[in-house]
Amino acid sequence: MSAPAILIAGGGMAGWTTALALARPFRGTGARIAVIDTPGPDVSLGPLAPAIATLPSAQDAHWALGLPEHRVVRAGRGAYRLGEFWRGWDGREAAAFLPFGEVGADIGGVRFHQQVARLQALGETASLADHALSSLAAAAGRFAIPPHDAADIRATLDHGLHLDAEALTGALLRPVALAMGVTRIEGGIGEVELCTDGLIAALRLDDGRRETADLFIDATGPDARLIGALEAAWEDEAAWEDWAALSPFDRAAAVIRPDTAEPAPFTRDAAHPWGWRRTMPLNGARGEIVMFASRHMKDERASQMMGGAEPAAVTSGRRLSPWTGNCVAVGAAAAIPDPLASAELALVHAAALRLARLVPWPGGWRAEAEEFNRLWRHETESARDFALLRHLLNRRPEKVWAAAREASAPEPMDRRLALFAARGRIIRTEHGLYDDALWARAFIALGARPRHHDPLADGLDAGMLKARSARIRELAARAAASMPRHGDFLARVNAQDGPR
Amino acid sequence: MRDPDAITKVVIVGGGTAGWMAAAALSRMSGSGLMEVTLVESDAIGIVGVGEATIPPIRHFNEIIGIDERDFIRATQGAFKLGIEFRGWTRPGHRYIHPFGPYGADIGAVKFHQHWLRMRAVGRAADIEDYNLCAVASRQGRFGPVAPQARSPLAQLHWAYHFDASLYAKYLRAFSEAHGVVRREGRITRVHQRAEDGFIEAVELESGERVEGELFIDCSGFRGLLIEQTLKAGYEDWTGWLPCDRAMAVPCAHGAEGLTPYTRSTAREAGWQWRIPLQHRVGNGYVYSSAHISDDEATATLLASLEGEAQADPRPLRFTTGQRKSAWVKNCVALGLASGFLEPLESTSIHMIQTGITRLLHLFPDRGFDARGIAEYNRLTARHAAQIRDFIILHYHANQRAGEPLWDACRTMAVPDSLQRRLDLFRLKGRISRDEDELFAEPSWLAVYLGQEVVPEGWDPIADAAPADDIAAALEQVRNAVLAGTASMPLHSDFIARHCRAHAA
Ligand SMILES: Cc1cc2nc3c(=O)[nH]c(=O)nc-3n(C[C@H](O)[C@H](O)[C@H](O)COP(=O)(O)OP(=O)(O)OC[C@H]3O[C@@H](n4cnc5c(N)ncnc54)[C@H](O)[C@@H]3O)c2cc1C
Repeated sequence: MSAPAILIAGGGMAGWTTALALARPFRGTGARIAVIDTPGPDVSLGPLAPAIATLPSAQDAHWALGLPEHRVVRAGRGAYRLGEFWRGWDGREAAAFLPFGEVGADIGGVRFHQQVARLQALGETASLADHALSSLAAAAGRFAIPPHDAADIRATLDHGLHLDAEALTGALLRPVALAMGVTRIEGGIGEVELCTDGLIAALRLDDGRRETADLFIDATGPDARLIGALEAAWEDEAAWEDWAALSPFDRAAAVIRPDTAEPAPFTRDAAHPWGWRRTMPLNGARGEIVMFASRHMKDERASQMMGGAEPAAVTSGRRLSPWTGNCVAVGAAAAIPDPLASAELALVHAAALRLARLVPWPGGWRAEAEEFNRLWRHETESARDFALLRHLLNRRPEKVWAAAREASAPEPMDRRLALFAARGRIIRTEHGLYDDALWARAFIALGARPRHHDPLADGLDAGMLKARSARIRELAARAAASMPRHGDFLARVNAQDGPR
Repeated sequence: MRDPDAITKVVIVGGGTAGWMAAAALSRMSGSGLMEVTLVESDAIGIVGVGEATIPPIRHFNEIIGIDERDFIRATQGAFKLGIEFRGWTRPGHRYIHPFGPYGADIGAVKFHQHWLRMRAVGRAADIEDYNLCAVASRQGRFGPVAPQARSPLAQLHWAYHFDASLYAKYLRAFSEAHGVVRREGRITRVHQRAEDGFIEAVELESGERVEGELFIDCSGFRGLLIEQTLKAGYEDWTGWLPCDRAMAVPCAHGAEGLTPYTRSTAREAGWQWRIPLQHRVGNGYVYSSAHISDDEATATLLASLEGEAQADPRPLRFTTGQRKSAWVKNCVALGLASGFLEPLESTSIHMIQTGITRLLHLFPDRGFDARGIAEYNRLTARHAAQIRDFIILHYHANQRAGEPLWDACRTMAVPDSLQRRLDLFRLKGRISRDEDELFAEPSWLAVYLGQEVVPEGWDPIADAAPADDIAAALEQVRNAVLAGTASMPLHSDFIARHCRAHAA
């Protein structure tokens, strides 16, 4: 069989990640995969993503892309994150930790957070996070990769990464993709040539060269040069769904700054009277994002705070059908999630790896596009809602935060809120980026207290629950103390060509 | 601290499989004194009790309530099941197995079956069933652990059971009563509702006894005593897609074929016939469309095809395929036949009871009965039922039995959009769309697509990446692992005789 030609427009992190996702499985088929590597800064994941935080699922994705994680960490000036410290959302400057990984264990359908809630109702003071090894290790600045031995409590650990997007692209994604046979075309994107049926016929580069392909990938960032050009022909199908109404914070800036302190193994999110600030430790640097309400803070003030970075308007939203015709949008051309969702890379990974298994060539594209877009809607919805949770459940006194609280929660978020408020229950959402347990921890980290815990937890023996809780905390404390310091762990990763 | 809003009284109406499964699952609460659980059943009305074939998740249910497998097999005249054989579904004389468990294993990003499609096109692949342990073991009549030297990740056993449903209900009853569930015998003649909001307050027995509760679980069978007759939930009718509306069931003595470790479904002119081998007998039934055959003809067809002497008079059953519009209304949750009916083609009814119970436990209400919890339960229930419905429709739709009115109609009908989208995707390149949490996993869809000869036009282009010789060798490795695995397994009948022969077979 002859093989497809796939042209990826935009050579940022989104473009090269997609190139890799396609190049590996198509290697040896004769498929032509080319990237138009546009000059200028990388905005393929959006304007707020010079540094990004990944979800634990990035480990599997990197594995599927053939990228050993230690090489990702090294190339991306990366650091590990065991979870997120959230401060200020409750209006009392109390900090709460959102741990990744497993915490405790369910007993016959009774979730662990319900067991802890029952113990608290009995007067115990230990919090959910107190039972999380990730939480204890993070507080102590320690880090470890979980061992394979499931009996070891360290097997409950899990992590995401902080990464410098441009560094990772330049030092790893692009060279590996080129080594896999991806063609690099340097140049800017000019005109998009459409056929009468609304498909893309070719791309013109700004120097006049004309590139054709069977499938076009739009990784051009918020400008969405390709899919944007299809909007007229496809109307609603390709259009952008704006999420601005969900948040009162309308300006944002992001920057990477040098920082020689030992990187903390977690993300730090702090709510302030004007908005919020996220800090992502990197190796020798830190990424920062501020998002704020223009009525409460001037751009100049934000810029000062951010070492001169220029704030811009927030543009979060998504396309309902990023795959339209013979064009698939990835990265910010397809969705710009709120940075608090940590979802930028997860969405690119999911889209790129799924696309590799759905390349429609030869033949039509409708059935594949429908499948692709259907799953995409679930993924982006979960990212939207995970960030929104911090808006809706904040208890800060300022007007702007009150407005954030009052945003109307879209389906299925209102159901999610109601069920947690009643009994601490988590609804199942299909194909979301966050598992049930993480949702429960997010509610709890924000101080949400259900009216009562799950009545089934009352069916469990209190003495047994207490003993288990004490044992988990004891094991976790001991394991945390035995883990290496995050800085030492990183130094080892960066020093040699191997994970240890 | 006791929760003042907590439900303390649950009434289960009905003592069939659904009622006793619910009772067993709730008995943890009754056992710890938090809740009174009462089950009302009427000996005069009796149970349907024909549900005899199951799918693997039932093992999970049994495990949670602490049932010992071999003990359970002995007590229910049970046997093991590795899949379903479909005879004549595609066209007369054709047969295939829908086995439990996967075919081979994915290689890198490429699905196993994509490699198989590619190799088959050049004549270098064996029958798809040769790559699935349960399928091959079914053909050979084997069941039991794979011997240690033959174990391989490519040859994993997955199983479920055949059992006598009335014995299973008895078994669950003994378990539930031992854990504090109280049983009341008697026919319910009245249902009392609260004047202000229509919530059910109590059911009244013929004797005049009132059984009061805060939460009612309607397991009263097809009639839907509470959910429909009292609360008027409404019914969504699916007979436009699944026209069978009757069944004739009859047990018979074992014939020459013996204790096969699979269910059989044989397509007939106006429906299909099941064969479910238990230790002491074989369960049989003809599921048919009354528009296409008379009861007498159906009975005659059934009786003429029995492998041994009939052990009872044929028993007629009537049903309307579909689902309650809401399985949960006010303070009443319907489980089992009271919540809807899907024909037993893929042995899913008992499983749907089980998932209903799990869902109820996850969303267990308090006396406020928050509407959003109820909506969530109903949403998940409807989704689950529609997914299974689509899978069953696929069997009927993708047939080549030209000239038989029922089958012609099914082949040419418009299927639900949710199924059409899957079919379109598969027909192009053999890609399988799947929902998270869906009961039937990719291998099940694959088994039925290929079995019903829905043949993809091509395959995933990434399957072309590896050299053909390597892929052919990888396929051969799977086939050999499956062969070695099955060869090391005992015969099913020997396994039963040695480990779980029923008490009074
Ligand atoms: C033809 C056929 C084949 C099937 N095959 C399978 C299969 O292979 N696998 C599978 O999983 N499932 C199968 N099923 C489904 C399975 O039989 C049912 O899911 C299962 O039996 C559960 O039934 P139930 O408990 O809901 O109802 P029933 O068995 O009908 O029980 C109803 C209960 O309610 C009580 N009741 C009703 N009205 C009153 C009243 N007024 N007062 C007091 N008590 C009352 C009755 O006494 C009885 O105890 C099949 C069903 C049919 C029809």
